[in-house]
Amino acid sequence: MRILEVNDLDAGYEDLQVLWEVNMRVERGEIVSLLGSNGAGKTTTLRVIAGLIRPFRGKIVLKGREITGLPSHQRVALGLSLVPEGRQLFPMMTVMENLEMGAYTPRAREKLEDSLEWVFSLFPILRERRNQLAGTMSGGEQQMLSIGRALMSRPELLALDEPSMGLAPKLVIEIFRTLERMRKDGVTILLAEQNVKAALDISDRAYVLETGRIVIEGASSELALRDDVRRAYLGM
Amino acid sequence: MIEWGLTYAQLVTSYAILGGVYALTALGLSLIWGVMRAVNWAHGDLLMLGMYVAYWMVILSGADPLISALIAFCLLGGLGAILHLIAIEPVVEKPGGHEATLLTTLGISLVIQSIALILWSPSPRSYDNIYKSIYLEYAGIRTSLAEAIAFSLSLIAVFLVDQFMRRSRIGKAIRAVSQNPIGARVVGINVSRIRLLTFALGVGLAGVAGVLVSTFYPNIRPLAGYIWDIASYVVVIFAGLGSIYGVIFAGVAIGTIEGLGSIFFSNAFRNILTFSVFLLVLLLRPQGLFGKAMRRV
Ligand SMILES: Nc1ncnc2c1ncn2[C@@H]1O[C@H](COP(=O)(O)OP(=O)(O)O)[C@@H](O)[C@H]1O
Ligand SMILES: [Mg+2]
Repeated sequence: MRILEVNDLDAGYEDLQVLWEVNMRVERGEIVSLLGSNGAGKTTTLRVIAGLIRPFRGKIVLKGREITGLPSHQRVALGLSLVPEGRQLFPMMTVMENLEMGAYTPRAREKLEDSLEWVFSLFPILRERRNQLAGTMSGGEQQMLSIGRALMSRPELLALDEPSMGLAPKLVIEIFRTLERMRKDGVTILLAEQNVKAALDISDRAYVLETGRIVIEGASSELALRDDVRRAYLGM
Repeated sequence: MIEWGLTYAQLVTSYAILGGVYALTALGLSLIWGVMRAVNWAHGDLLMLGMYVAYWMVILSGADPLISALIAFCLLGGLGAILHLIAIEPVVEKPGGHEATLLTTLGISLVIQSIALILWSPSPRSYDNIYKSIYLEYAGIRTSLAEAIAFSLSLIAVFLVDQFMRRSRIGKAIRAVSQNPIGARVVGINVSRIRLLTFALGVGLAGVAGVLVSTFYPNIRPLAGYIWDIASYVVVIFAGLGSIYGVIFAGVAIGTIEGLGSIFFSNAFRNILTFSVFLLVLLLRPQGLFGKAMRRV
């Protein structure tokens, strides 16, 4: 069953167009990668999907319902969450308070205790750090908190914007393993990444953006074998 | 010599008491600044409207000013919501929107002053009430009950707002938006609704402050607002964002400094001292005395 559909999307900032006729789909239960080098338009795509900016043209469909004009907070209530670029935590709140804010929608608040246990089981370090101010944590811990906070809203579809950014390779592996566990727990994942190798390793399908257009799409295992992908993104 | 000292102590006390009210007005300004990075130049004029609410309630119905404080909170809160939708919300997310609020709120300020002048004439008013006729005395320093009440209720109001920010769902959302607006949006907070509520709350508090001062202030008039703008902004910057108790301390400190300024300089130049302290704080500790340096995560 299709959870997300992006149709003929044009988007950008003011009069600068960044995305051109972007088409994507995500099926329930998948991990889908959105790949591309710096400036390709990954963040812009996720911002449009999450409702942080309005597209110039095109349609976003979530669970069969068009959400193109819906404000971001209503999308969260419908089960779509974003782990944004740069984590965007509440720096002067504790880990616990950040997680509680993650369960802001009424639907999520009912399951608060349950969700906390779930997030702590995925990221045990957050339980240890629960009384620490978010702004004082290391980059890796902040990334885990940002993902944990998004999970607190009980998303059916979780979009992540470069969770590996700035993290040591060991931590990247740890976080990507956790993404696989989240998928087993029923969360569909749309993963924007520059770390092409790690993303292709865990995803089922992938889209490649170049200067705002989708230039390659297909099964991740096949993309990993393609010469053009290997040369351009895997340094081989 | 001792008598002089007493007179000075008396003067400084009166100003320190005003400082409690500065804390309340500054709290509204700093909430508004925190959530929408907007400067509200009409804040003092809204405080002035609070004074008139108390005045007219007494004249028309004989209502106790302390009841008027609640009424002014609701009336000005409602007016604040309307002004927000006219002057802030349409511009605040546009490029250059934060700067635009300087102009739109200045416009609101002029409109409020003009309407007040037409309705109520420029002449100062005051009204009789029981609180200003009762005096309290301690160590030779006298204050009216009205001033003591204004001071204590201001601090209580600040405390209640602090509790609201810590405990309530909306209060937590207000803090979240001030700390990271994008983070707030991705957790599902309706940020434009939070902006509306915050502006209404800030303006409602200005209304309460206006009522509290009106009980002892002899100068209820349409142009009484601007003095409060200046003092309150100095308090906001003095205190820095993020600490409610810092706002109380800074309010009283600025009040005291004004009192000292009125002694060492003439009354007309008391702002010189205030602004000197203010510049010193900006130079040495731009995040304010109590503000933690805001670190983006
Ligand atoms: N807030 C913004 N305002 C204007 N241009 C932007 C903004 N954010 C990104 N861009 C531009 O849009 C293009 C795509 O950027 P982005 O979506 O961030 O790419 P990616 O996430 O793939 O690195 C870049 O050329 C970038 O300069
Ligand atoms: Mg990006």
